[in-house]
Amino acid sequence: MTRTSIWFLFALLSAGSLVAQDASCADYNPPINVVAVPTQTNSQDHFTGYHYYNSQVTGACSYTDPSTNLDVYCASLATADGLISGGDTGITTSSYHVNHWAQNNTQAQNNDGGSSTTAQTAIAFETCLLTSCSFNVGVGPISFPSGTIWTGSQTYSQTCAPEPNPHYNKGGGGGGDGGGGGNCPCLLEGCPDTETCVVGTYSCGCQYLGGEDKYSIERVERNISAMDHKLN
Amino acid sequence: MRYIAVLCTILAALPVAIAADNMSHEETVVRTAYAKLSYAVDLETALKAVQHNPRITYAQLTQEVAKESLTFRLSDFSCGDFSSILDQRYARVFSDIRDGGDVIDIGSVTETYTDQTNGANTEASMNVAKPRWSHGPNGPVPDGTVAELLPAMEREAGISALMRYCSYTAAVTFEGRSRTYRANFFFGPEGQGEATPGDMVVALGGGTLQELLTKPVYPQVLLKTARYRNNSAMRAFLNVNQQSNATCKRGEACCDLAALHCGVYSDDLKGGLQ
Repeated sequence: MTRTSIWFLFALLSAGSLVAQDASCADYNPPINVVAVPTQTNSQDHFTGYHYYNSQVTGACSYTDPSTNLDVYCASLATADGLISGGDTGITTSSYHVNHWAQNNTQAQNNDGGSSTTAQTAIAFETCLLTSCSFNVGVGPISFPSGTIWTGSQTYSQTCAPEPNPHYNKGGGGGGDGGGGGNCPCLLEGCPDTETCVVGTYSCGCQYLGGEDKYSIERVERNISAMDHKLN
Repeated sequence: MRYIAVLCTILAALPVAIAADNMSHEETVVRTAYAKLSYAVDLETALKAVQHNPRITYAQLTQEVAKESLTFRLSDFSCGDFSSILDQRYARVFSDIRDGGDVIDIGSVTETYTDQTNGANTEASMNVAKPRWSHGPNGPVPDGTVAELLPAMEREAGISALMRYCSYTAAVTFEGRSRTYRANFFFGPEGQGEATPGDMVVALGGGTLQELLTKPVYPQVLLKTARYRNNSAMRAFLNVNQQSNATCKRGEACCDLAALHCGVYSDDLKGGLQ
């Protein structure tokens, strides 16, 4: 590659880098997941009607720009919130039915990478004779007391994949006028196979580029290659 | 009298404030359970409000917590030994929920926050509660004396021998609706309280109240994780609602039992949050 093409590449990549600086980790935020267990019914110990429950867990991934451009990946927050409810309809064969429910809502944060978390919901029904009736339902792990007439539960895991930090700068920020171009080590020394040397206005560094960024770099490289051919 | 001694020992270990010199041990236990339940609901509301809107202001957070609050007023306590009411009709001594009216259904919620940065997996969790109105049961109340029904009561309560009871009037308010009912709290030989609050049994009886007697209600997630601890509205919320009295212990709700209001014990906020 000639000196001219290197500087041309530098100019193009600088422009590309400016675009990348406008990008945000929030761009990776996927739609919210709602995973529902439709209404379940059971008529044990009922003359008429039934007991029922339904459950749902809402999972989400939220990506934010990390506090430093030295982080390879965006900060991620995985959340999973449960919601369970149940009740009885009709007439029971003996006394009355009581349900107790529990849920474990979870959040997991990774300041430099992906995150994963699991939510649980659980409900149990018992036949009670008197108001002293008491029992506990547990989550994390799910547990039910003995003597229940019916139970239900849901477990859902939300995983947020690691997403590259659009502002990642392995060089630690370069600095001022000497940021890119000929002073950029990665242009001279190269980068690992999975990363590309990106030169910005004020900094440069090896950066993993996924998706469109990667293809745009490949297009740039093809253009440079074509120009090299013409110049030669 | 052995059970009273044991009961006193257990109650002495409870991190509660005795609001009045003449408050019995039983009333202290009952009030503590209700105060912690109310606080557990507030903590869940506060966490969710900040989770969904990290830029929430303190005024908005306070408004949100007030809107979703579950509040109680307790009065007319009457406590005694089971041995003194054995020959009385059960239905005349203890109220029952089977009037078909609405009850408050309370779920036991655990909020867990894990920091997975660098594979560290630092975890904080807290016990909170979520209430909602639901339809209560209907049907006849069993006929019989307390003595005849006591074995069934003990079996259903999971307590080998019920020794003491406390009846009281509770007024609950949630989502702008209120109900007043007569409720009961039963005590076993080791001083464990069992909540059987009359027409609120599904909500306040059984699981949740009993859990809150033994588990701490403490905003671990809000105090220990940077996401919430560094949120200005949350910081203000925890600071403004902090409590302090001689019986409070670190890592547990500190409660004003007259007002049925709890907060973080002031000592738990020293050296960081303020």
